[in-house]
Amino acid sequence: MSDERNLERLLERYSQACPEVQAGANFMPGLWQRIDAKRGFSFKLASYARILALTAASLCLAAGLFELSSYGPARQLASNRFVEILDDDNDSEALIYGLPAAAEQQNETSGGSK
Amino acid sequence: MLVDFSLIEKARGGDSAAFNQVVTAYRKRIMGTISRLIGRPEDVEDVAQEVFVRLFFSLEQLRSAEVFEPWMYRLTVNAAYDYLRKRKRRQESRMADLADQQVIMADAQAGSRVEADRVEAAEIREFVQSLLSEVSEEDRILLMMKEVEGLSLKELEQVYNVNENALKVRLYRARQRVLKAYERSKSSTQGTAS
Repeated sequence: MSDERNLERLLERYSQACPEVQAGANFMPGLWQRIDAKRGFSFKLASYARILALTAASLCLAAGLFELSSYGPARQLASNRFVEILDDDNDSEALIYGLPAAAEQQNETSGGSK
Repeated sequence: MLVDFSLIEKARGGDSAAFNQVVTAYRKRIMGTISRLIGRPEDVEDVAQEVFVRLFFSLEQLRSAEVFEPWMYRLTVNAAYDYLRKRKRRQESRMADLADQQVIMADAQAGSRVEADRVEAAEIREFVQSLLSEVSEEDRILLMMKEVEGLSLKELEQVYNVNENALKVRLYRARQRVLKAYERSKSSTQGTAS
């Protein structure tokens, strides 16, 4: 008989030679104990994760509020378009350059007429 | 299937009584498989409990009740792997087994037929275990599932999540390695005898 066939037969005999293991009386209580222990650990882990997520969310909210309150005008500025800003800035430019320039122009015209 | 699909669905839904019924139905089969895979009767209950704990926490991931049995086998195979790896790491001595063997041998000398059968069974177990210890855990478990547990290629495909051709190649290689170990052990026995 070939070795392959011998091995097959040996494995068949092994299957029969293995004793039938019966579960003890403590099988089910022991199983539930292990499930509860693991569930307790998972529950703890989940609650820690929840607390961590909640803390992170509150921190983000606080940081956002702080950002809003401290950079209010700057945000308003940023929301305007460049042309609008230039337009708004025209008045202050007029204050600085506008008036003397206008006076100079007036002088020139009056001088020229003389 | 040893239980109704509805019972598995109930267990998936968190029904403890249904889960208990599933465990009770599959306990004997799973313990038998584990016993043959790990070859240590004293640890079978512990590994079986681990299988059912994993089942409890993974039932939600089960796609449908129809694939329950391959799923159970996959959990069993994985738990057996883990156990064998741990045992390898611990490098446990097999003194306890030897002591058992010696007791059985001594008993057998009393001459009763039952005792002789027990000795023969113990010898077969010991021989196959030593043979399989010469190949990897993967080869050992795959071969056991096919040759000893009698799972079909289709079932093994679902357990291992690989296609039939890949499985056939793995099985062929595993069988060849065990066969080589068998030949070696045979020649060493003949060498000792002569």
